Order: sequence, then C-alpha cells, then structure tokens
Amino acid sequence: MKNIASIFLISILLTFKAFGSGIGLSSLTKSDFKKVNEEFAANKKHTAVSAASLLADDKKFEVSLIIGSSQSHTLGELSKAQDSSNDNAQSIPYVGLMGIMTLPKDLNAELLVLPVTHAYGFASGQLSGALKWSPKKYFDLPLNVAAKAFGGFSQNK
Amino acid sequence: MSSANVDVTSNQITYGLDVQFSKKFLMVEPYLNLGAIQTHGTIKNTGSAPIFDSSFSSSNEESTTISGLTYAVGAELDAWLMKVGVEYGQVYRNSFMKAKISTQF
Repeated sequence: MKNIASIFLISILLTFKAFGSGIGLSSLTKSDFKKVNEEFAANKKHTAVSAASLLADDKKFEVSLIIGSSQSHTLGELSKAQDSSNDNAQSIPYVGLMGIMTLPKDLNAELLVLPVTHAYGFASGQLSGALKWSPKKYFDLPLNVAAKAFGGFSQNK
Repeated sequence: MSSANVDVTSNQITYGLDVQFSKKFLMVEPYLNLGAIQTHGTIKNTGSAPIFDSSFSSSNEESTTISGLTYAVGAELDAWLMKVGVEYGQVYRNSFMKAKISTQF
C-alpha cells in the first residue's frame, strides 16, 4: 500500500509537469467548446482497467494505481495557436487511485479518487464510482459478462 | 489552466453504463467494454480576458451536455497477489490508454 501511495504521488508530479504549462484557451468557438469538454470527459471516464469478472471469492478488496493519457487534439491546437512552439497539450495525462470492494448480491463497488492536486500550474481532481453486477452465477455462460453503472465528478483547472 | 489574464476551471459530471465481456486464459483475461456515456460540462473563466468568442452569450461561463457511445479493449494479468492491466478505448471519438497495477486482499 505504501508503495502504491508513493508511486501515485510521483506519477502526479511527472504527468502534470509536461502538461501544466502547456494549455492555452482563447476565442473558443462553440465547436471548440464542445470538443474541449469531450476531451476532458474522455480523459476522466471511469474505468477500473478490469475485466468482466468480479473479485475472486476469497478477496474482498482491490487497490489500484491507474495511470494513462488521452488524446486532446483541440486543446493542443488551441494551445499551439497561442504559442507555436507549444506541443505539450496534445494529450492529457491521467492518474487515479481505484478501490474495489466486494458487496453482497454479486456486486462490486468501485471508487476512483484523485484529490484535487495542484502542480506545475495545472490542477486536476476526480471522484467517481461504479456498481458492477455479473450474472455469471445464474447462467452457464461461455464468457464472463457484467453490467456496470458509473458516474462521477471531475475538475481541471 | 491560466495565463496572464485567464484563469479557467473546467468541471464535468459524467455518468453512463458499460456492458463488459471477458474470458480468462490461464493468467490473462482479455476483455471488451461497450457503453453509453453522458457528460454535463462547464468551463468557467475568472480571469479578466475573455476566452469565448462572440457566438456565446456569456464571456465567463458556458455549459454543454454531450452524449455518445464508448468502447474499450484491454487485458488483465493475474499474477497471484498482484494484477496488472492495460486498456485502450475511445470516448466521444477521443482515444485513451490506461494501465493499472493493483493488489488484492
């Protein structure tokens, strides 16, 4: 757990460093505005990076460090329009801490947390959750199948 | 996100539903997620310089609601006490790549 927490903090600093000084927004058109919202939403889409199967019967919790990035062509173009040498905003970095817990009734609860963290002129935060249910016990299926309802709030500043 | 006269905050509330399919082969479980997603996004500028062009009614805060389909493919490697996963997907035609390292207890 301590190792995951340490890697989490280092990941935040490393991922924000290149991105933070790179964003520039001005003269947003309605099309740009929609695309920028889509790019931030794609970056913060709730995922546990997990397969359809639930946690094993002898496991109650899973704790994960999730890192990644997402495309941000519009943010990149807008930032480059302000500073032609700026290529830092072509993708948005991502980092989050995920906890998964076994619940009764063949459910798993997921909670993803990125406390609003300020570093290198950029701040990002997310709180999202999901309930995942698998009918595997009730049907003899050749595949693991699950349905997951998710929702959350995120902020970039 | 800020520069000389711009201080921008972007907030998003997102919710949706995924259907997941996977099959485990020894220690590896590849998977496919298909889903629908909706986002309510707001961008607010508290700086003195406007960030929106003249087509907007406000120069300081605008909101929009967008919805679409999403998919992801990935794989989990179950190495006893530790799991490692990678995932590639698209949301609103924007691709993302995420990786995880996890422990279970």
